[in-house]
Amino acid sequence: MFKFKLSILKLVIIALTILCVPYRSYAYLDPGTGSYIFQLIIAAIIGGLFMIKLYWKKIRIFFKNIFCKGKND
Amino acid sequence: MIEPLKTNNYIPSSFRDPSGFLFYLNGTVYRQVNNDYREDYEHLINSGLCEKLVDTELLIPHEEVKLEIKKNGKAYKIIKPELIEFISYPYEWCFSQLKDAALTTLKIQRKSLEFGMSLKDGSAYNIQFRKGKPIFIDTLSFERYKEGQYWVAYRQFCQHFLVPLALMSYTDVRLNRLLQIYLDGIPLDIASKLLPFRTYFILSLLSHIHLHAKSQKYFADKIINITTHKMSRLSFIGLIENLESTVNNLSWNPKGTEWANYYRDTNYSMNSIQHKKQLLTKFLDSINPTSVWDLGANIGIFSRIASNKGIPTISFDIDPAAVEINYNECIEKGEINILPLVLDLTNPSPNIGWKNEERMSLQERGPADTVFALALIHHLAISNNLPFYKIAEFFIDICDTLIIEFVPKNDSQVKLLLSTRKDIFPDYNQRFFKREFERYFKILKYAKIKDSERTLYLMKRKNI
Repeated sequence: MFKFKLSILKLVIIALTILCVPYRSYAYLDPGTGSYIFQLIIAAIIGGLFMIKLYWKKIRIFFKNIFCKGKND
Repeated sequence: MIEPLKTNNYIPSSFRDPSGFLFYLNGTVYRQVNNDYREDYEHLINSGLCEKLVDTELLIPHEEVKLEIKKNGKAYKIIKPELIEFISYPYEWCFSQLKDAALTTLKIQRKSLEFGMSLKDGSAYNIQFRKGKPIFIDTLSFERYKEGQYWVAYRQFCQHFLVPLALMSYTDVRLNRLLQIYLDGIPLDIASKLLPFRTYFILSLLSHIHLHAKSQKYFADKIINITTHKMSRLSFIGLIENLESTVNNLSWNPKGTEWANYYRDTNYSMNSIQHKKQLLTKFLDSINPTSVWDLGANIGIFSRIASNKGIPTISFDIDPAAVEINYNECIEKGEINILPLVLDLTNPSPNIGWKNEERMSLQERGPADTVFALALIHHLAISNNLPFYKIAEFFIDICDTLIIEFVPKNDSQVKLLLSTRKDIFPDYNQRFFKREFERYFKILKYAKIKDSERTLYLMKRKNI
């Protein structure tokens, strides 16, 4: 059984592996498995970016505060 | 006595769906909703999603009906969807039609999530054009969304929409014809090979097509347990939004193809075009057709004479650029009676799919009440070596009345066609054309077009 836990880092490693490892073609097999795994990878990355976008304002304020604080000091 | 529904009433395009199927009864299309789909159907109706989508013209309206037929054991309900006048297929659409169909599918998916549902199909065949706009026709494609689930239609969406659009945009606009060969969408590995190398540097195409294709091959022989992996709602929405922006960023600009500049570049005088329009209007008024197919319509100048009279008109042309220009004009002006489609008349869309029954040929979707064959005969007879009787035989298959323009050998366009080939067409003359067509049609009217060598005929099919 092929099992793994989904963390973004692991997903990126899998994505890189897919790109680098040579593969054979299985013409009679359903391409659904690869689509499913790939969707989880891409959606996790997009979800992560989405989260950053959502919290971007807060992150900007956080860094702005640090920067301004540094200037004031 | 209540008759059981016979299997030969079933419409062959819907047999794959365990949720229900389409069938004909007394000339009307109905859809059986199976018991398996009961809860999803009830959620679709009770959540208000169906009403919302119908109100925004994204989903075909339907009504629940009680039919005097003996239902099979699986039946939960029978619904009667609004009839689509002409079924068209993605391999007959121009770039913007496919793009609008893709965006409609994603819009529906986004709205569905708001109502706790998700699309289980991403098939381009679930979209049809009604009143000039794309609309979703499969009422049974919605399932209840479960927290953590992935989008089951992702692969199909990529193969049916994203891949053909990317190929049309980056490689060649004619490549959507691959959809005719690959019924469940263009395989990603083929697309990855056909797309230019620069698409590896476009993040969305690198991921949804190139890496996606490699992932399919890498995992092709591996077994995984799909219940152990979850996808957050945020990721789900992010994926749909990403697909939306990917589709929105794809574009294709029609220019410089064979026919798109036809009216600008040929020596048709304004006078002759005007007279041809007047004759066509007169012929149309005398027959009042219920439907028109304009074959070789170019950008639809003459199709609009019919569609502006409220006659449902299909405007066919072989040139994707001409069809693109035609469609964009429909959208710009909000025209509802005209549907431009890409069609190679010398090799029209065939019956395809399982038992060659899933998608209908052009002829099977006819006949039209009236066919226009304007400035077409010389292309069929001279460019494609078709004898007049073969052309007439085709026309009696697809129409009741025919408005056809005869273009003689001394016309500048025919001279141009013959300039690069040997004239092996001694019978290409008006007398022989008339004789051959009169075997199948009765000539009702005819008139010479001013300032040209051409003649316009109105013919009615004989009962042979």
